[in-house]
Amino acid sequence: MLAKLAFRNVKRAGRDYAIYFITVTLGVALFYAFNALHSQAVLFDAMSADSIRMLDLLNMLIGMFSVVVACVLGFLVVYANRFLIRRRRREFGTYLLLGMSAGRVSRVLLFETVLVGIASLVVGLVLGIAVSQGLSFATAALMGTTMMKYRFIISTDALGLTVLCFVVVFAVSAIIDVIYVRRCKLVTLLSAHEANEHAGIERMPLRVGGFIVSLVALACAYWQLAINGLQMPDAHFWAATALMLVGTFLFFWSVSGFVIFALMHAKGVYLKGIRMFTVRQIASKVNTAFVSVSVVCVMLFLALTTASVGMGLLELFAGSIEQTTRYDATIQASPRFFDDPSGAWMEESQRFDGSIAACLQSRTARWDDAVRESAQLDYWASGVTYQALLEQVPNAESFKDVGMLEAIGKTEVQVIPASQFNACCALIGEPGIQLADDEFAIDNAISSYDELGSAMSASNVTLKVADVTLHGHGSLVNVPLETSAVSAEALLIIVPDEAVAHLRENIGFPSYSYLNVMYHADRIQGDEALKQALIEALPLDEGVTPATEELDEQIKSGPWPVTRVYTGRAMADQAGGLRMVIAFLALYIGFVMLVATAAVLAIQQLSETADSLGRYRRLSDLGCDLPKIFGSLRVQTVVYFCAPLILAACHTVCAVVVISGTLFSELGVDPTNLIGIAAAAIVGIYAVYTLATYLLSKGIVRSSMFQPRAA
Amino acid sequence: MNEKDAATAIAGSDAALLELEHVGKLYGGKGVVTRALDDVSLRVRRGEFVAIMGPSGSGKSTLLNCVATIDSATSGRISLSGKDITRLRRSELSKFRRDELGFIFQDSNLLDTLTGFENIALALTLKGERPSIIESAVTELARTLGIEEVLQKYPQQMSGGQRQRVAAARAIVGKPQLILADEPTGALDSKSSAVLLDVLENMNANMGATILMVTHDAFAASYSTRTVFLRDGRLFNEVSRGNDPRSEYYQKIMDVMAFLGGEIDAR
Repeated sequence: MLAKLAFRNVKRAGRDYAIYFITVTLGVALFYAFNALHSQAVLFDAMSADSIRMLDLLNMLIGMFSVVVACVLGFLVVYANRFLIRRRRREFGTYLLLGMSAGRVSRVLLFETVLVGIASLVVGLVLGIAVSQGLSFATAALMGTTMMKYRFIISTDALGLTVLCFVVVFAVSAIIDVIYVRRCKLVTLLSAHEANEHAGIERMPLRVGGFIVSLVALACAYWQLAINGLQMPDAHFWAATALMLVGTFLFFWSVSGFVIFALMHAKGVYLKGIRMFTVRQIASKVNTAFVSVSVVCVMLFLALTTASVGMGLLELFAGSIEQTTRYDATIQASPRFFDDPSGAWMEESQRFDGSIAACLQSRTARWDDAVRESAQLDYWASGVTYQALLEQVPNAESFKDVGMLEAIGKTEVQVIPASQFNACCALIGEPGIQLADDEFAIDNAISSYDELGSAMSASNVTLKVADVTLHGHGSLVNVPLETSAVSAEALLIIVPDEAVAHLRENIGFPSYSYLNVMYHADRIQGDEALKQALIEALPLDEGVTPATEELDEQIKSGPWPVTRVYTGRAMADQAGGLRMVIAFLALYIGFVMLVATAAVLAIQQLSETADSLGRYRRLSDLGCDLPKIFGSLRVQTVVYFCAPLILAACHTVCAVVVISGTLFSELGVDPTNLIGIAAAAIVGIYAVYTLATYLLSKGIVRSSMFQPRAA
Repeated sequence: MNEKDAATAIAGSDAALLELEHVGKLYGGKGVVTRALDDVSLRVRRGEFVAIMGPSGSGKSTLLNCVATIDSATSGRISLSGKDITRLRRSELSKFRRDELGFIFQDSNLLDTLTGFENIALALTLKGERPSIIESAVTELARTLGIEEVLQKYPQQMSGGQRQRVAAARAIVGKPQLILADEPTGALDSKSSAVLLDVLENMNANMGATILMVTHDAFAASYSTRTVFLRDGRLFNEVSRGNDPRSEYYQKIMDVMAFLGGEIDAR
């Protein structure tokens, strides 16, 4: 009997449940799909160790963020359920009045929760399994791998996790509901409406003042954020965060008061049709729910920022990978990172005259099997900083902002001998450069530094290296000098070999060296051959078994000849893997947050409409026609959805502009297109929720208008 | 016939503004039929203040709702200024209510999110009145009705009497042909009732408002110019004030009530 009642209730309250149901279903689907990513990877044909590592990283991060996502969805379920119950408390009151025990009433409620829970879980899982198949293809594409033999996969791990998570969420929400019903007094359940004490806006001057203060606080927050540059969580960052939160809350507390205050002084605009009513209706809603509107705004901000920054980072890894992996491999020796008092490496280095290739060649015959050609680059500390160059550039501020210039100015200039530079160019078929004895040139691989680099290499700019005065070569070169996942070489200074000879006499050893390597064979075979050679030539790290692990993890990192090895393939895999990690995390978090917040707004707006039915009837009695009432409803819905979105978008634009200034443009990336796509997707989803909410509330109003009324 | 009626309605102020001819209203379906109104015919002339009295269930609210076009009559004809309002299409009804009628309900029906000023102004903005006119019209009316001090207050900050006077102001501000009042004093104490009834009387006598008021209170009815009695959906009797002082008119109403057997106060 109880089950039958519960079933009928859900069917009848279908409209109330619809948005809730759809959102939970979407949540379940996403939760499953992303947690199943790891299992789907068995489909992929060949995966390098780097790809596998990236997939593991992704899996770990998704696991971590799934906790956040579960909390957000849990909050949504509890919140939505409470709303639905409050809307139906009259019905529960009637059950109690008819003599049903509180226990039985809560059991009806429990049945309903279970019913909706199971339905959304099942539908969500079906959807999630479908989505996860699609995600496999996306993963394969992002990781540059293929799927020869596709088959349908259901991840039992993800399935179990999803079911467990949502069962807990539904259980918690059911317990909260039952407690609510048991504790409620019959008289509160039966009273038709909560006394709407705060329908009107009071303390107008205070609100107007608060509005101005909130704008000031937000402006200060943006200013602090610009100072911080979103690089480090320093005092400015926390100040910006606190100001943004306070500003947002204050904004929504005061904005409706301010708008009404302003409109009351613009009677020509205000006193038109039912505009007063619409404005007052929105104001009263925002005013009573300003806390949840603020929370929604902050959540939207997080969702938008995650999505935008994620998309920006995606562009960062997409653009440059071909340029940064032109050498088959790069072997790096960085004695500076090691504190080696014995100085054994110095002896070794002197024995081979600093040549990494010669050293490795002497240790193993396999070296020549693997390597066709190689070219070494030594970076010598010049003893001067970039400030010496910047000083000679007129209007340096027009190329970079002052903070950036300051940081550049403090960096010591490392110089490369021209002959080594030209040898590297020859490896990849670049023309190289001819330097006179008194010239220096600048090599730059990050496009946002091109203008500054050109200015710095003008012929009237001079640089003093080891008592030799050099002047600029005049033109800038753009040749990558190492293998890496992300281009990071900016403003490298190339000098004549004689200048370096002086430095060698003074300091003995370069700061660090790169040996760029080209293989005999293709990169897969070449990587293997290089690995075999290095395993023979170098001491192994403690506790590794040579056969299984990746090159980088086997050899013991030393000051010289080999600190680290970067192969072109590994870097490409890492970049691809990072793209995937970032894209998926941005999608996952951004999407779930967005859907959850949109659902909260939708539920609030629908229940507001239901609570305001009396007002709409009064308007109708006064002779206001239905199209006008629906128009008001439309404006209310759109404004209620847009208000938090617009403020959140302002916050996001500020954050993204700051990040662009300090990160993207430094790395020569223009993420505008991808951010545009993300923004369009977000606005699209949001618009669907807005439209659905409007249509549902229109239905509620329409059906109430044609109900017979008590005489 | 219609045109002739309209012509006479416009010709003289004593012509019928509102005319009910053989109006009937049935509730219910096949099995049980309730006859809420049974062949009611009534004429209200322009400038009249007519009270409708009757015990609870006599059909007086149904009668008012039918005139208000909130409910529709099952038979008969209701016309205002010669126009048959029972034949208005649904889309025309709201325009008719907005332009021709003013309402005062028992529970005042003010919108709780709007201030007193805005509630009154709403009747004008719905008509598309110019904003520059609205402010002066509302303020002037509020002065006349003695509700200036509540113009900036919200309904829940006003007393019941103040709310009803704001509702009265809202009803008359658009200069409707007819004001309908449904138990306007029903929720008020006797002092507030008297103030509101003074307002209505003032509106009728000095501002040219034609009022149709439903009440079960003989004291309220004594402010009218004519009282008609309704019982079991039928017109039963009627009393005109003429030139009588109010106390005498009140006594006449009480006499009819006594004749009705005291049932009238059963509400």
